[in-house]
Amino acid sequence: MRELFDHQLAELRQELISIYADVDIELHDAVDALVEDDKAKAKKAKIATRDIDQRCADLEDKAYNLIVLQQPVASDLRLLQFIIYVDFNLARMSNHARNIAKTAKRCHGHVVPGQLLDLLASQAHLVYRVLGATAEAIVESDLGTASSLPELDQPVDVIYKQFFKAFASLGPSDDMDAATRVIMAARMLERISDNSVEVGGRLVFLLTGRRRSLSDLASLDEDELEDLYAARGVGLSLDIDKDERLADQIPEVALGQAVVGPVAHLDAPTLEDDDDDFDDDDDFDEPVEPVEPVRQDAAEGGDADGGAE
Amino acid sequence: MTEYRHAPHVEGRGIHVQDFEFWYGSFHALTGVSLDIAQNKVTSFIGPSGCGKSTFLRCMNRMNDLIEGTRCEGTMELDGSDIYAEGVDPVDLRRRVGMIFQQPNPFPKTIYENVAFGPRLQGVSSKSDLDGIVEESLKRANLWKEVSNQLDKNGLALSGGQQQRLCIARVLAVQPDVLLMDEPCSAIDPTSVQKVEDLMVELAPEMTIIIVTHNMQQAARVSDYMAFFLQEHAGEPAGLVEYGATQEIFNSPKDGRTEDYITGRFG
Repeated sequence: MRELFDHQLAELRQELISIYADVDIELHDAVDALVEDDKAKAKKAKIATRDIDQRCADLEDKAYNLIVLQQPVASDLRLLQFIIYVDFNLARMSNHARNIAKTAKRCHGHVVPGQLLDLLASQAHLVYRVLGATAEAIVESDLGTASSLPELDQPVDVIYKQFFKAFASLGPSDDMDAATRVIMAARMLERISDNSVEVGGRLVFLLTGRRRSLSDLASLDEDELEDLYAARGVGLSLDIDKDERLADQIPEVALGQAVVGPVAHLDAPTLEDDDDDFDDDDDFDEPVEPVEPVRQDAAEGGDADGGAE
Repeated sequence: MTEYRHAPHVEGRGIHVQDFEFWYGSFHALTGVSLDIAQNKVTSFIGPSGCGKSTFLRCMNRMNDLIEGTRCEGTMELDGSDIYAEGVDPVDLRRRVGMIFQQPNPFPKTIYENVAFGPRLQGVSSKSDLDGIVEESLKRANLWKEVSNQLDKNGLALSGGQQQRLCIARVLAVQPDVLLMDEPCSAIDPTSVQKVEDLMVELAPEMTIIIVTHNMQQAARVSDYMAFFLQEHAGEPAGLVEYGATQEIFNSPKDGRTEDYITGRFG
């Protein structure tokens, strides 16, 4: 019976990693669709996120069933708590990816300001890096990698603020509707990155049984991190090679100059003096310089919503 | 090496154990046990059969003295006094440190006489005083409502769960500081288990309770602290593996052996 439970835990853990990889892949498609104006890819990404939603719902059901039927404790219970929490976040991330895909469909045929698309592509690469590191931290049960997530997320927030400056510099000939949609997509990317960092925070509880912030962990050395680990049950490590294979499906991201460029010249805030970067909606509520809207699509007879639904 | 996480530290009142060793004849049963047991809290001892938890429990009121050839080393103090020191009267110690066993063992006497037995030995002879003690003890054991009109009934005629609570009332009648319970619920029905567990929680503010149990959920429900004992290899002495707050032990045990035991991988 115990062996069966171990395998059930491993299966749920692997399904979680698989969904993580698929969210990352669909996010790539959604962003590529927007940057490359590829409507077919946007449609594919949108449909794929619906499938992810269903898998998230199924995974949650299975996790609750195991809690009810097995009455788990220790790492078994922490793992199931973790799966339920991450599953919830993956559903949110999938929803954000779907909204980006919808944005791609709605922007299809519009002349989207190029500087915004460049920023979006750069931001997306930074977000992929956060997602990849989160998946790596989960698969390797690595507190060190988890503790690096806030630092990896920081440039995502920095680049997100750049969109507003770029928006303010647009001229009357630019498609402001399309520009606004791209900024909304940037907001989705920023949220996805935050969701992933939150997953890292939950990983700390899974591995240690204690609630510690990722930022606190970043200041600890290897020995101090090692001392935090609680005992690991079989459910955390059984068939771990399969987790690794699933995580390998996540596309590797190399940060080229094109990505680093837009961020490098900025005076990045430190984690200490800009904690607000980790809040949910503060940036979104920041007042943006009002810009005279110019409906380029209307002038061209286009539909701002693009009939994306 | 024993893991201690948020384990109590006793100064003065409570039970302090340091480097405790125990032998049954030539068999070294327990080694290197060090822990402090907090006063007026519930502490559970868990571990697979043969891990020495009941042996250790019985050391706390010197019940093992009754077994020929047993001996111990190390320190075991109750309220700062060594219970194994010369001159300590084991009978007096057992009044202060009462014990409840796996099988209910009421005397073949009336319910009243079962409860009044201890106080009588202590010299209480007044009928009204004894009546008061019996009523109070049965009330504290959550048995009064069920037996108040049949106190002259034979204790052995009660149900298993009632017999166990009668035994608890018998112990409470001599006002112990510590209550040792060796698998007190393993031979009684689920409803009675619930009553005994409720009783432990109710009594804890007044006395230190230590329970040996194989029921992990029970240990989780009733105890504030938990100690995990293990005999790793047959023939070798058992020891304390991990000790700390129950919530921590169940949530995030530090030692892999504790994790494996409480998640049902062995034992």
